[in-house]
Amino acid sequence: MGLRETFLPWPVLRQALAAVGGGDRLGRGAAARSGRTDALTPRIATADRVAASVCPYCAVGCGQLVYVKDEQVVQIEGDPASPVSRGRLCPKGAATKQLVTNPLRETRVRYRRPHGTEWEDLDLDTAMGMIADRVIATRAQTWTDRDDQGRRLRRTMGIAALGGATLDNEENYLIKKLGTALGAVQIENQARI
Amino acid sequence: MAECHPVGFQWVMEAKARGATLIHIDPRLTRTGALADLHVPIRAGTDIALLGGLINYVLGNGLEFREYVVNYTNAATIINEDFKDTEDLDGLFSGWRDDTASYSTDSWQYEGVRVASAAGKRQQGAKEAREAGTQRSYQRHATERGHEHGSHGASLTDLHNLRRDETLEHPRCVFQLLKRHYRRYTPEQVATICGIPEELFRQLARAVTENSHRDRTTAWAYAVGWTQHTVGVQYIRAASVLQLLLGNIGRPGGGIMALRGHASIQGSTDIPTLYNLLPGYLPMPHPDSHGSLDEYVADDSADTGYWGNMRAYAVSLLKAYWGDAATADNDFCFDYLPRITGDHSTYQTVQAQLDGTCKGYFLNGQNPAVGSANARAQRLGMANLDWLVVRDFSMIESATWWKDGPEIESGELRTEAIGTEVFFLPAAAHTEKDGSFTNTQRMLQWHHKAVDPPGDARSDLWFWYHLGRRIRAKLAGSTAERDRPVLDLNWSYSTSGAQQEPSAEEVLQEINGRQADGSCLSTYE
Repeated sequence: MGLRETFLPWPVLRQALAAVGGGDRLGRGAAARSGRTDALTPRIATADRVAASVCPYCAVGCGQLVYVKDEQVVQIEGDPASPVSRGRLCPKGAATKQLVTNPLRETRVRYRRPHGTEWEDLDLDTAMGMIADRVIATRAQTWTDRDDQGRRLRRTMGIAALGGATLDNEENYLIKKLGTALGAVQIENQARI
Repeated sequence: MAECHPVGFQWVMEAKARGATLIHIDPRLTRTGALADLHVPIRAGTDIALLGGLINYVLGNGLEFREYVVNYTNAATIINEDFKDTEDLDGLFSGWRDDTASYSTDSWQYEGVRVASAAGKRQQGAKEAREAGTQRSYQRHATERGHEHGSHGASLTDLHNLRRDETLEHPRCVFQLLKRHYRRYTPEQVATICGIPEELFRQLARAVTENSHRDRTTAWAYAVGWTQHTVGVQYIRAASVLQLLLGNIGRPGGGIMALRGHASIQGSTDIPTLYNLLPGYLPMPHPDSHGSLDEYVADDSADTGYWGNMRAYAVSLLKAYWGDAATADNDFCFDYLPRITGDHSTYQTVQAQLDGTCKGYFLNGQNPAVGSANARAQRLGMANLDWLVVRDFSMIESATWWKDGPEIESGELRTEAIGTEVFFLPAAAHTEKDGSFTNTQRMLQWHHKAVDPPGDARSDLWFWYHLGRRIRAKLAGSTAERDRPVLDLNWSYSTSGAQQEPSAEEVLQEINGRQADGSCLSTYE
């Protein structure tokens, strides 16, 4: 083993040599680089594509760029083109990738039958059919056409919905539209909690 | 704001760099206060005294923007002589009803007219109008619409009967009533109640008033630090009074800005998933006086301003909902709308779950088992349901309470005894769907889909569209009258991809509105 292999990778020595010999007196240029640094490529440079998006956390509405490689989100950064945020994200927004790629995300439908003690698997298609059946049955069972004074109510108080405030406008619109057609008036949102 | 909306705060700092004075009113010294020109650490919950003190400072020192106040507010208008303030009635305003624990607003009306008289009944005699007015204010209370009192202002017919004193000297004009009411909030009182030095209050008052005149405006920004008080509405109304007196409403740089906390919480208010509203702030109808579209429009529209177009808004919405089935001959299917009869908000829903009325519950990205007040009642309510659908990213407490909730741990509930059927459906993230958010400044921003959602995960757009499609298919052929609104519903959106994701763009176009020829509207008018 020669001197070079033994001592040169030692950062202090490398930085000292760069400062003295390389003109990097502040130690922020060549001194801070290593072979590994030079071999690194940013994920945003190797991404297949980038989608313009909006931060899902607070309502400031910072622009995000979502980088995708091999159909996976590989990085989310601030969008410099956004007039709201000018490329900036707060620490929470800058960690959005950890929200959307979180290992704790469930990706399968789970079903708990009445009085059941464990989750069971259920096909998405079957689940959708079962939920539609529940809505129809509960609505029929709880339908109130008129109140005790004979006034028209045309509603069910048997079905309610509560949504979060990260639902898109379009999603809210469909929830209210379908709920109203079904006569479900208890359609609510985090907006009033 | 520096901590909770740091990227938005860059604009506040930019304004400060350009010479704006930044004042932070907060019991805590936070990073916002540290960067402000003035930090006013009032005692928590004393905002009414502080705002009242500012109003008194303005009125007591003649600092109002007189020309603005006379021409753009009701300050000059004279109020009914029956009105009594709290000094006269030992803490209550006139019109208090013990039986309903609420105010009848009859005596608060303008002299000569009745703002609250039921529109459409204004042509009737004074006595009938008075009775209609009483009935109407009672109905507003009964249907939880008290907040609409006085909305849209007086009618054009009534405007001719209003008595005004533009010198603002008449003892019963709004300006003088305000002046007398707020006289109690002297700087000394404010200092005592708010727990701040009197000089600090005076410094605040000087900064606000010196910056509010013909050439300059002052803005107030607040968040849940105001709204989550039991008297939050009074805080915001008091701020409105102050801003109107100073001419800071409807002028560049003025206003009262609600900083909203979630990506599209403003969107879910405008395009509401709220029990008492239809899209665009049209009210949900109630059975008392909304028997027909005409009655509904007469009750809530106005003669002036944008609400004068209420009928067009209502008809457009009904056409968007029921398409070809909605015609002038059938009142545009107005009858298809369900009626509200009181407070049907989420906490009432929990009570209805506990008493067995509410049997099915959808949670779309919301976690009331830990996120709402009285989480225990939320969990017990869910344990009394027939079925529960939870749509979220991960196994949240509202999905698993039957297995590992605190009531299971304590033995109050036993898993085997809980009959609730629970469906957990994984949800798509914002990166996995197209759609728009409305941010805190009320700007719509589109987010583009980057990747497909994994596995069974789907957008809520997908869930509600396909649920509606399935329900409609299962009900096809039904002759039940109650199924007409479902079967006649305009519910066709194009889908794409293997997952058959509905087009969010088409839904946004529907929200935006179309001309009769089908092209998208390009303006609000």
